[in-house]
Amino acid sequence: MRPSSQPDTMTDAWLAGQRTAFAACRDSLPGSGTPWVDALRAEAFRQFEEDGPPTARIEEWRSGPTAALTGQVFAPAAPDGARAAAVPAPYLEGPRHRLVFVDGRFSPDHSDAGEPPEGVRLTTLSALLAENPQAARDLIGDPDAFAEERLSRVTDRRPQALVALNTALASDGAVLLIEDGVALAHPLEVVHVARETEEPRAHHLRTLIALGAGARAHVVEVHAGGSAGVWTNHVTDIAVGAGARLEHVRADAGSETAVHVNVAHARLRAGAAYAGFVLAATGGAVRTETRLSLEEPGADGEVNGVCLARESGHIDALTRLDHHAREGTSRQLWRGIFADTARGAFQGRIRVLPDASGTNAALDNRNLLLNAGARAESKPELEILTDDVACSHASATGELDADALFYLRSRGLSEQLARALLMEAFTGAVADRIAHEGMREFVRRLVDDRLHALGSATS
Amino acid sequence: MSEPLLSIRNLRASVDDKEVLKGIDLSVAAGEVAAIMGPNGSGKSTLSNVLAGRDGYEVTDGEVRYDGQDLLAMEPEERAATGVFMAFQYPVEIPGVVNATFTRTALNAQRKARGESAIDAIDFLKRARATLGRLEMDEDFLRRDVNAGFSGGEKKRNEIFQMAMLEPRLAILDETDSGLDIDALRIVATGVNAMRNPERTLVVITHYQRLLEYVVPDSVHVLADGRIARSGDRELALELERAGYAAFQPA
Repeated sequence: MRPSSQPDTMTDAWLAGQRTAFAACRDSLPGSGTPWVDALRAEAFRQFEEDGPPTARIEEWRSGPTAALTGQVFAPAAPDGARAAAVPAPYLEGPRHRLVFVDGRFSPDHSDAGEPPEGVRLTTLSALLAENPQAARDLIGDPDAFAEERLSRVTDRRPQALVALNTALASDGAVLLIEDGVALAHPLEVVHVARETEEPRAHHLRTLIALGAGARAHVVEVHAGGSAGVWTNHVTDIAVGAGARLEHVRADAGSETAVHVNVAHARLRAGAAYAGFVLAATGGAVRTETRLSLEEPGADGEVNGVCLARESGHIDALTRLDHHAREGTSRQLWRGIFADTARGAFQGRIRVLPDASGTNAALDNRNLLLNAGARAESKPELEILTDDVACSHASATGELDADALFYLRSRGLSEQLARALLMEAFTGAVADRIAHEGMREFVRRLVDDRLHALGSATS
Repeated sequence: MSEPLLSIRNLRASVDDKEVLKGIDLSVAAGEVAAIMGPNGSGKSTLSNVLAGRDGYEVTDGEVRYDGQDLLAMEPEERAATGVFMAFQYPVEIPGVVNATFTRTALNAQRKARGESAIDAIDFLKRARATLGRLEMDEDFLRRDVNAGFSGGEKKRNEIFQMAMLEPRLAILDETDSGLDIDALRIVATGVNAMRNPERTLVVITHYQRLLEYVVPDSVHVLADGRIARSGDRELALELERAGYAAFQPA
């Protein structure tokens, strides 16, 4: 690794590494040979090159883990059938559909798609591009669709370079397409396993979810495995049709040393509902973005998250909720706990556009710092371009309540148990928002495990 | 009465370098109900906090023996496990922690520290229901978050509920009567009286005499300016009610 006093040289090396990677694998990526796919990938890569890797000069990446990202030149993970992967047992109890990807490629042996009902297409990006590329074309988001208006006072670069890179290099991912009025009764569990690696390896994953009018689904995306050399760049494109409802959990269950970037972008039609939950847990670096566009009247968006970082870990969480149409509602509940010298940043924006009268939006972010060396930054932003709205935001950062700790200890709980109970309570309110019981139980277990790691790191 | 369960000798303690307890001497026997009364600023809450082990109180001299052990050397949770309970003047609200879970966790943490087996959820619930009934508390209390959104009276009753469940040998009731209306006071007092037995010691810290009409003390001690200024029996409390603390205030 080069010294940080030569950032431009480092960035050049990083960019050169991506160029080599794209040249090496563009002919073997899913959809290769299909003209529009080739064109899309080429254009996306050109756009990525133009923008370069994100830097702190871009407002949306001001507190992002840019150094962790560009500190190593990651090459795309290559299929390696010779090495067995440690694939975890299913996370959800009870009936489920399960798709497993290892090092960014579908693993039929570990998957159990079950029998989805008629009207549900459960497949992979590579299969969809092979069988029905046109269906995929409508779903893959143009990186510009994610982009903010350029703010020349900040930068000319677009903040979504990594989405462009993902579009260029995506190796595979889950695809869930549901026709109008159809409900997927059992949840879909998508597991991305990264194998440990000595060499820096990148995983570009692309999930596509589209629910027709009145459709229903529950989806869990879990990241497992991994190691210090792993960078995951995961994009989930979501379309929720009129009156449809999607509950969507994204969770880190793997290595706490990897670099993890994910973006979910959901477009909501009239009366659609999206309920999202994010668990980011790391001693490495995580950037998690959730972007909702409430495009038509009466849509409802919920984006909640728990961020747990320890050691020198860094979590940068960003939400962008855009209310485009009237009578939309949205809620955001985020809790962060930071131990050791970890740092966290939460940027949450609610934007109410001129046509979105009658909007009701709320955002609540609270952070706990367990050690003097830990830091958390909370930056709620309201951008309201119409009257007749109800928007609220709250944010606070502090330590565990000393009075509550003493109260619990005076009743006989050890300090460690008392701290654990308070941390569980702090995060439990977020996990409890998950409507699907099996998904809620899974998240609570995972959060408790991760809290345990946090507790033992600090005791 | 027998050997004192609690014995405080020349206890001096400071808060922010200001001496608040200036040499307290007090012995309370097993089974005794002792009332500590005093005006505001006399050191009542400092005394209860020092006994419970709260941070921020520096003991500069003296000792506190409890059942033959050095109480001040113990962590708050160790004090609890050996049978010391403090009913807080201001019980803390803990949103997100359910009362039943909290109380059972506390009970089992104490039992574990004493080398006893854990109580399972069903036995716990049976006991909890019976205790709630005695305290005229709705079963809903178990499902609510600890003290969150409770009225003042509900919080105090919750303290007594926990005391009843944890069955301490020494209970310190810190201003348990403050903020209670007469009905709540009667219920709380009934709960406290139900706990009285020859093995259990109660230290009732209060400004007013009125709780002592229901929980009749064996001894009454007046705390003034950080010292026990006078000790007596129940008559002393009644005298204070009539004459006030004027005689004990610093000139």
